[in-house]
Amino acid sequence: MAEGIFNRVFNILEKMIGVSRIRHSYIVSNIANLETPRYRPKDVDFKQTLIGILQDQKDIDLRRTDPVHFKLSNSSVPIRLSEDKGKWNGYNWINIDKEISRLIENNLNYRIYVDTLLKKITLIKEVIKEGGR
Amino acid sequence: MGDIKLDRLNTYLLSHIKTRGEETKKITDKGFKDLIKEAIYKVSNREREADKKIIEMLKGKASVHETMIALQKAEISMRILLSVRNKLLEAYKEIMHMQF
Amino acid sequence: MNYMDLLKVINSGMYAQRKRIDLIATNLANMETLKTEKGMPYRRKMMIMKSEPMDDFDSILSLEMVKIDEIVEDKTPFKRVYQPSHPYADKDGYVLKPNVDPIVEITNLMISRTAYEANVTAFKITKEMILKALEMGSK
Repeated sequence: MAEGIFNRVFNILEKMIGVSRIRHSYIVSNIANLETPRYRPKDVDFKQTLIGILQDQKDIDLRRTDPVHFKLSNSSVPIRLSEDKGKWNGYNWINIDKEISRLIENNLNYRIYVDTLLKKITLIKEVIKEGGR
Repeated sequence: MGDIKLDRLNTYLLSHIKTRGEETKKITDKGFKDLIKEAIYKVSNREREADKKIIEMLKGKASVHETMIALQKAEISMRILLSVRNKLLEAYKEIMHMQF
Repeated sequence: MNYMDLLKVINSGMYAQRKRIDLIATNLANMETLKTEKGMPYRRKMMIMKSEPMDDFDSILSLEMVKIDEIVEDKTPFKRVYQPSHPYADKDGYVLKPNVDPIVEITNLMISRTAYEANVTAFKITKEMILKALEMGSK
């Protein structure tokens, strides 16, 4: 009955929140392993992932690497991993400045998605309240 | 399905109530019962989903935002149902006050 | 994937860096130790770290903790310093000293400290994100 309320935009925001959470976990892993020999940083290709979500891609894009599928609230989110392999610095491929700036940037994105979704939720509730008049 | 507009729903419901006649009544009964049953079923479903998510979160399998979203969806569904119930009651009272 | 696992990873990062700093302090403290129980000068110790996935099944998806793999002795030869008057001097007048270079140690100390702080930042940001997610339930 209320399925229409939680429309496309709602679902996209929900998925993007999930994506940025996953990206956060990669960055946290990278930071913990800053001094691990031969460690390669992992990251999400945000742009490609977003495109995938917007197109509601269900097929695997054969031109790129397979999207990694995450189980997120009963739907699968196609995450595309970043191709950036990092620069060799003598003992591993991580750069601390890059990771910190990714950390901050991702956090900002996360906050934007959450605040936007929150606004939508508040709006929906307002509509219901007012609609009862 | 598109966004639900409560006005449209109200009009639909009211138009069914105001029309008289046996057949219409039968159709109305069927339409109503199913509509309401469906709505209640879906709301309790959402409640169940939310509870599931809470347990998963406690176990460490679901993330906080997933659980919050599930809770919000449950609440919104419930509020819609309550709104519809209130509207139905209002409509019922209106009819009861009608002079035939 | 949840916040507890994230905190475990960050914690592992902090712990490893802290232990590394301990090791650097030990190296520096023993810079002039000419004889250990083995009879030789103190040998510089190094820490080797390794990453360890949190879940066993899929290492692409999972978080990676850092663990201390082992602590090894630096195989670089000892320093030979010409000090013929020294009681430990050999027949050529050289004394063997620990293979600890203070500049290297201090540099590593700064790197470890920066890495430690990066983990602290990660912790703060993680906390912010969790609180933000909770906000979503409150309106």
